[in-house]
Amino acid sequence: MSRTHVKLLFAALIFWQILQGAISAKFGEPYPALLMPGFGGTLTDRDGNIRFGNVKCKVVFQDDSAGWVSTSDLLSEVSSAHRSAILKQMFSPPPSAPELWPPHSLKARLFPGRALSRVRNAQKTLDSETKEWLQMRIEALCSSKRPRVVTFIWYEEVFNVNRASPGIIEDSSRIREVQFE
Amino acid sequence: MTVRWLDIDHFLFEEYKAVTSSLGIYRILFAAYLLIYLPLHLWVSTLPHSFFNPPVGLTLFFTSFPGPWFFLLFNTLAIIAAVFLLFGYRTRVASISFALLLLIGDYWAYSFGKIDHDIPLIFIPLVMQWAGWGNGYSMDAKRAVVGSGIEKATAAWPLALVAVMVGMAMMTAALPKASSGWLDPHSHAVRAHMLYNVFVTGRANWFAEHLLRIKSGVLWEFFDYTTVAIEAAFLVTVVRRQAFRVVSALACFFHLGIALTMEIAFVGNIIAYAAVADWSAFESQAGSVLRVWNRLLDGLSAPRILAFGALVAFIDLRFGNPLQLPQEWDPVGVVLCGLSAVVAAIFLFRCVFGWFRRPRGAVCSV
Repeated sequence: MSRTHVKLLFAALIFWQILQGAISAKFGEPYPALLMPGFGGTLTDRDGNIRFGNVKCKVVFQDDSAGWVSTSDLLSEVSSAHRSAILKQMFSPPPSAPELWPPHSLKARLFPGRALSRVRNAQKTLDSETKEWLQMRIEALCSSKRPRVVTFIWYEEVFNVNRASPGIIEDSSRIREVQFE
Repeated sequence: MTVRWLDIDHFLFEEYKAVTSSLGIYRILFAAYLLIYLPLHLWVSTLPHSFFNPPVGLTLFFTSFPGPWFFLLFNTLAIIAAVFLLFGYRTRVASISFALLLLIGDYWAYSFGKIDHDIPLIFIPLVMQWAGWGNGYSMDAKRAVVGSGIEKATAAWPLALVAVMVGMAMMTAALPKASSGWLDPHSHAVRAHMLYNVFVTGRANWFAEHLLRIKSGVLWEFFDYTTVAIEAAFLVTVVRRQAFRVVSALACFFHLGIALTMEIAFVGNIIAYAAVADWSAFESQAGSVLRVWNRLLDGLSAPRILAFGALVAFIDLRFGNPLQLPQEWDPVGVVLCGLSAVVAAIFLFRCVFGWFRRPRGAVCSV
């Protein structure tokens, strides 16, 4: 490769990095991208409390008994780094004002994957494929007991260095209930 | 002769000059790591298609994941490419093929709403095939010497490009931290992210538990500042290879700390830092191992390498890679981070020792 081409390659890299920053800011992190995890923010409020969201999963079985299933166990087949994203996308309460694309719009036709993922994130009743998977996982984790209701409870944990155990703030509106026949 | 601080031509074509043997040894180490790292993403096809949530990229044009056959084929080809890379057979083709295969495989694995940051494993083979990493300790080198009687040269600019790419990528990690309170002396961001990692991601272990018991604000603030400083230092020092190496060595300790406490082993990054090391120092330390390697190459042929690659792929995909321990955390990654910290410590010790012995123009290798 000639020296001029090498210099152009370096210039293209710098240009790409600027373009990548603009795409990230407008549409979210692209792939592939020359990025490392940002771990932005300090998760700390004005009073020095560390706050972050978490989720737990309660199961009521067909025989009316109840139990808790760890979300890590529920998604144990998945690499741990991806679990939070899947839980948020599929099992968090649907957004009150979902940003859905009209099904016949150019955007929806060009990028059907993104259009579909927005629909799934906004669905009030879980689709049959996800429900089937959830039932199968619960049965695998709970000695084949069939679930009647699975509830994902989203809550906030509050840590303070002066307190021994974390505080937990639950909000009844932050739950997703999945009913089974 | 004095060199100006920012002499572009010197930086691009001289600063990162490497000898053939160093690049050859680096290629072997890189490929050996790939054979530990593979197979990948077999879990993707066990999940329902409804989980499909693609990022901005190629998979936006699809609506679901490919079937299990796709991941079997992807892994088979990637393992064969890694074996070709290991022995340096058709190195250029193997490097580009591996990078493209990993890119395609990753596209699907990162279509759940989360992207892992192992991008160095893609850009390193793409760039290093220009550097001539197939010209040392390889079958290609043996064939070239037999064919023309001369060894092929190496190029410095691909190493400079790798350094710039690492610097830019690390800066994208430093800037969000610096602009979101990590440098505020009253916030302890590392502690907060560790708590999140323990309680939300579920990566609790002995190291994290004991570290989180420490209440000293000074220590936590030290972690916050050094994290931002190390991540930013890569791009700042990129024009000086030796300074870049020192930052890379310091970052190895940083990655070991993350691997132990947060169970995130950024081996891809460590492999990228290793590209700028001078691995020819290994020749004097372990010359007999390399002589055995050269003898091994003499006895190899294309069909034998292909058969070996296919055998490795079969074992990995049928029984699982014996080097990938079935653990929630990544023990091999942690060990590699530990090893990199040992190499980094030796390098830094030599630097300091050399600096005292030779106050003018200190030089340290590895």
